[in-house]
Amino acid sequence: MSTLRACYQLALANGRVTATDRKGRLIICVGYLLGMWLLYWLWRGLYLNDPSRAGLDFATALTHVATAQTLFAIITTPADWRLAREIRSGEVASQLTQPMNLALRHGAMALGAVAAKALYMLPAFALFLWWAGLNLAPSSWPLALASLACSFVLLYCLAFIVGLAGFLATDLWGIIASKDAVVQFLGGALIPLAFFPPTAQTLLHVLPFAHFFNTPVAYLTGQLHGLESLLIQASWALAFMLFAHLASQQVQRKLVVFGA
Amino acid sequence: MLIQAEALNRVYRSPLPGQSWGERFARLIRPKWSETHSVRDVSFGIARGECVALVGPNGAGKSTTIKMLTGILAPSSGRVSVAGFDPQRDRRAYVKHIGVVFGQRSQLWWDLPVQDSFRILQALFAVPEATYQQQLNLFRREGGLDEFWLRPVRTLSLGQRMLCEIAASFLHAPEVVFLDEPTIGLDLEMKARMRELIRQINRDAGTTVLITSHDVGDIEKLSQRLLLIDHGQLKFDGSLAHFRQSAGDGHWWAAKLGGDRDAAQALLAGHPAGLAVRHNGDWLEVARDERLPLPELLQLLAPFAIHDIKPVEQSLEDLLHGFYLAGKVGAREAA
Repeated sequence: MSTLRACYQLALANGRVTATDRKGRLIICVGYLLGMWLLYWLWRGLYLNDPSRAGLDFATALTHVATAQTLFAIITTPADWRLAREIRSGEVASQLTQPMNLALRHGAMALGAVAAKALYMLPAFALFLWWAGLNLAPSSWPLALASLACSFVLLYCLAFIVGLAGFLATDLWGIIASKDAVVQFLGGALIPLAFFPPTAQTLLHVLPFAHFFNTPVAYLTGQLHGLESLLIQASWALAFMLFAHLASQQVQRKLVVFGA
Repeated sequence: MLIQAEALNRVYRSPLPGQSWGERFARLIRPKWSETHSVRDVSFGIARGECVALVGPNGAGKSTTIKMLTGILAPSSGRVSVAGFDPQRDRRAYVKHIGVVFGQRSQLWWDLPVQDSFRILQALFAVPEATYQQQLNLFRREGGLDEFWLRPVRTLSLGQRMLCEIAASFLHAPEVVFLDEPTIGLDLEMKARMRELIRQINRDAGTTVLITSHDVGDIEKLSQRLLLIDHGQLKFDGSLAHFRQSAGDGHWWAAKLGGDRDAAQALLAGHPAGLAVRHNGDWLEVARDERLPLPELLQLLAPFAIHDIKPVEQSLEDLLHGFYLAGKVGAREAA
């Protein structure tokens, strides 16, 4: 109970820090809408001479990509940057003198940041959908929301593990940029996985990649109905949590041994 | 003993770079290491309610010792026990019983008001509301926390922030508080306020305090006992009064005379007590000893026209400075 209360306080605090920067919020929303506008014209150009590509029409493909890009903007948190910075600056030492698991602490803070970003970015997303004449039609909101939660866990755990690399490397820009590129491309955030060869699609669905963005977007757009994909996604989320926990234990042991 | 350190050692290993390409490649597979002993065979015990200063020059091993005591650094060998816990093994349970202030780090939220940072810490340490209010009241009453209670931490002055850091470390009514350079960079008024608060909590609540500081005022005003560490080794463990007596060149009487100082020196040197006598500028100094009480000294020096006489004691700062200097000379000679 006290751990939950601590998580709530941390999430609330980081949510407030994320949401209180009014100018930053405005700039992000304007930049986001500009990006969506460019995405619209890019995909419109792709579909100019062909009403159907990879079995998807223009509206379906654009809805998929726009939703995936929005999810990327909202549920991808800078937990990797923050953790790496705290390790390098030694600030992590102060956190280790507090009775809370490091992964849980950063997870709660990431959740707060995601909730805050959702508050100001979802209206912009709704505005874009209205302007482009698109709409989300999930066959089941509970499944879609569960898939979104799993997606957050996957992305957060990955960011946390990458952030722990701050203990080994000074500059994590390359590692984080590579991670974001792989997650977006193989996760179906840049182009729907339907555009990939069938074998690659199967492989990406079995592996965790499709479950970063493609699975939640498919639930949100009504392309997925059953539980099967969600179960695979949830299994990967559990595996990632376990892996993040083990990595955290290992690094903390090293931190404890070599000093903060 | 609430804190018990036995034969603590901490060795840092760092890889030695190869001189040639071949050697560098070989060391990728079989690295060679150089070892630095940051803390060497340190043992001490601290009883509940004590306020102890851990002092020493830069790089002496103070912070390493504090890190080992707080559980964020494992000793290479030796044993630590604080409040019945092994700080490294039981870290998550243990940290609920301690408070820590690292002068260069913050446990507060930069962008949030002070009160929100404290609420987060209350939740993290699961502090009951009554305890939270009780601990806070002292700092609100004596420390003037209310003046900036609603201001974001980033807008506070260094002194105000340190006051918050110290209040935060006492928030969960810990058994022990480790203060690593808590008054660094503070002005005189804020230092005095901080010391008074720490002293009050140590005295009234019986909270054990271990403080490291380069500020002699912190040591003199707060601690009853001194742990002096140099080159990773514990060089002195005892009361402040004992340190004053045993360190430096002792206590002297200094007399300014109108008459022949050499003759006076010869007279004093011939005294049966056999005390040390020396010239120091215009002053003639004789070691203070009960075998030569002041009335007798005055009687002896009366023929030499005493203009002035005063006791001479080295300040704690001078004593510590002399101690550190001796350590450096010793280390150079050993090298």
